[in-house]
Amino acid sequence: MKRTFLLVKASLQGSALFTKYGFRQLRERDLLWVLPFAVAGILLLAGLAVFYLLSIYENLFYIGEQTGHPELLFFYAVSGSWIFVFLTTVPLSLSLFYYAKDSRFLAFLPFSAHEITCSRFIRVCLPVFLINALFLATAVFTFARNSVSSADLFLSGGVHLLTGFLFPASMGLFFVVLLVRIINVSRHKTALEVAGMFFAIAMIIIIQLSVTRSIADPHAMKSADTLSVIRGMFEKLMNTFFLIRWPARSFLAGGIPFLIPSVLVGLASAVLAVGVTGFRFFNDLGRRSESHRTRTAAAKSKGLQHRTKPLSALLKKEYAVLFSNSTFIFQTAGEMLILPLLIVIYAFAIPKEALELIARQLAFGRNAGLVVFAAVTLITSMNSFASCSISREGKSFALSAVLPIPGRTHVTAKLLSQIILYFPVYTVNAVIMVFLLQAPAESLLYIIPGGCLFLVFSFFIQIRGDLKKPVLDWTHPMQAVKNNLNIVAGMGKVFFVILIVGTPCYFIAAFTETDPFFIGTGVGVLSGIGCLILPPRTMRYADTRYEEGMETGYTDSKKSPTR
Amino acid sequence: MISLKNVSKTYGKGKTRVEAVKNLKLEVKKGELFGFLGPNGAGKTTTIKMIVGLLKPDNGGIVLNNIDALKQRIKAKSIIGYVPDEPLFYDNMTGYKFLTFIADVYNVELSGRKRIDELAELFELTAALPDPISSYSHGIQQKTALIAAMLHSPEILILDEPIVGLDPKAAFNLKEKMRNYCREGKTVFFSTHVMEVAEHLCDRVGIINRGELIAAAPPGELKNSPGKTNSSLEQIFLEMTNEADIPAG
Repeated sequence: MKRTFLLVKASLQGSALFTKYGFRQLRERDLLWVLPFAVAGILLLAGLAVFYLLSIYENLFYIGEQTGHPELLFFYAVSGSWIFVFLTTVPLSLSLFYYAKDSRFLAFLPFSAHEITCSRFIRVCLPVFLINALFLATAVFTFARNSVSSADLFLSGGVHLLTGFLFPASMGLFFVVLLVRIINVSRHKTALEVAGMFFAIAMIIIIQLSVTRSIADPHAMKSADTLSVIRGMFEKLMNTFFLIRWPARSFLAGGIPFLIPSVLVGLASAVLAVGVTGFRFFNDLGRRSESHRTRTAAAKSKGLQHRTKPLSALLKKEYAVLFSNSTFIFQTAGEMLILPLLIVIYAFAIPKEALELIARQLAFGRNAGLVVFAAVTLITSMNSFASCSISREGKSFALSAVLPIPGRTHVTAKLLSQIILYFPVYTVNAVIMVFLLQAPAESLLYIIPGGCLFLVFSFFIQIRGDLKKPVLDWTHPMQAVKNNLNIVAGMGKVFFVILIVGTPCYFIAAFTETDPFFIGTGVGVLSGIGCLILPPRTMRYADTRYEEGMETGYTDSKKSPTR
Repeated sequence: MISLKNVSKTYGKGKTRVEAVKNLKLEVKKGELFGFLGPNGAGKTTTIKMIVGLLKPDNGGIVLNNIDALKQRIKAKSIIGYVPDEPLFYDNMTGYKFLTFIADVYNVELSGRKRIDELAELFELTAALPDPISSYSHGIQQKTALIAAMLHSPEILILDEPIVGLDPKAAFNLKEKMRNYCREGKTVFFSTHVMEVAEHLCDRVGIINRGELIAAAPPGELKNSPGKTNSSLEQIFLEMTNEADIPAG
């Protein structure tokens, strides 16, 4: 066991930010200032989660009281915890068990497969412990605050805090082992990550919607019919999911007999999961590297029959980079679909009467077209696509730099890739908003061309920062898209331009009788002028930067160079 | 032909300042197979990165086949084939897609693309090419990088530690390929730590230590230099680099 904990410690030291090694690394890179922000961000997120959970639990507590099933609150808390722990365990296990760089290295050291898998499982349990604690501690607090609390409540709370995550985490690990043994996870890594993240988001939205739509007023006594329906549904759920019923009941007074089997199930599943994973762990690791043997050379000459121009080849490369990992896919998809997603979620989550009230409040009259123009342009152009388009390439940027292609062709390929993705999105967003805000349909005549021109203009504003100082030596894609100051600067510049152009337009539209169509067209013309002025300069700059190779790999002067 | 004229490169500022390459003067003739030797951190990779256009020299000039590589960079890059010390790819492309991409950006004719299959067979890579590069082992990645570098039949082939990770058969085929390249009048410049390879393969070798070129001659000439008769290239290399490490005075 000592050797297992040694592995856990080494793994933590090598990967976690909040360790002595992590602090030292930050200090060496003059990045200690990010720590307070990181802590503040985590606290804010935790605070929001606690606030959200407490408000839901309060409602569930009263419904539980009214239906005669006080364990309803805990049933929900345990279900929520299990779902989130399971969803977190799957990517974590894939990453820690099968994609960790040190797995092969450890296989050569005198550690047994079970020691490695056990240490990895403990690593998986550390973050999911916090998720479980968040769900259960807030539930115990809510229950204790609203009713007479028993010793059983705190005893069960303590035990489930320490062991409640074991069952879902084990199921997550079983799922991963099954996945690894059924399909080639190496080949379908990105697809799996994307599917998992979509599933997680869908679950979160479904949970959120089911809660907000089913519970309107917690304190008001619900009608007898409604209560009877809820009671029936809950009893069915309790009978079906008895593994959740046991821990849920164990929190109530006299519930200790349910505590023992629920803890035993958790411990047994953990032992079984670690055992099964360790059983063929080295074989499973080996299978990943042999994936290329599985396919024949049937596709041998495919792609060699036709020739494409360098620009088209670079365009394909842009998408290859964009779709190379789930982080880039999600960042881009999230930014592209944010408006339609928000509209769909609010359409489901907000009652019809409230939506009608909002629509009445948002009557912009004759200026509705301009409001749509400003809103859609702001939402669509405030993206990170251009401002991290070079950073996204990471170390493989060196490949672009050695190609005999001028920088302007690379930038043109990046621009085309943005146009192909964002022009349709902008158009669809504009049409939806024109419909929702009841703007005149003819306003689309200036909204669509004006907005598309502005998107091109904003591309050149944003890519300049990444041309100047790209973040290329990242080890995790998150560093290229989330920890990249070029994105913040790029968005700031675009916002500033919108503010500069938008402010006089607002005053002209609000305080004069000028035709909104004329104002909108004017803004479109301004964007067009911007597209004539900025791109030639940026293209010349791109030529220089690509020709110089951007000093690839040596962007950080404080880092000791490899000669 | 590769010509380096007083090329220097420095990294960092103040206390962290490191002179990676100091006034490097070197001529590699057309059709020559040149081996570039040096201990770790001697400046080999920096020199190579400056030749291929990944780094800009602080001063000096680089001429490749009469093309000023610092002024006509695109033209210079189009006659180079480069294999870096760490293979560089777009990982989620398959081997075929990646090589087709390279063929497209170098404007390789359809007839010339048959070389993909020829080279893949030579390096026993055909079965792996339909799979994503991310699933390749280091050796297979190295072979893919070699094919990518040779695909457009460059006038100058620059290889940074090309033998590392190759199986014996692939290493043999690569050495043969390099020799044939030079017979066709093309230039091969490669760095290596394997002295036997340099000794038996190269027309000339250059030894760099602490950023300075301390020798450049055919291996036979170095071995028979005064006082060093019957020494192996390895012994000469160790002597030269050790001597250079002893401070003067």
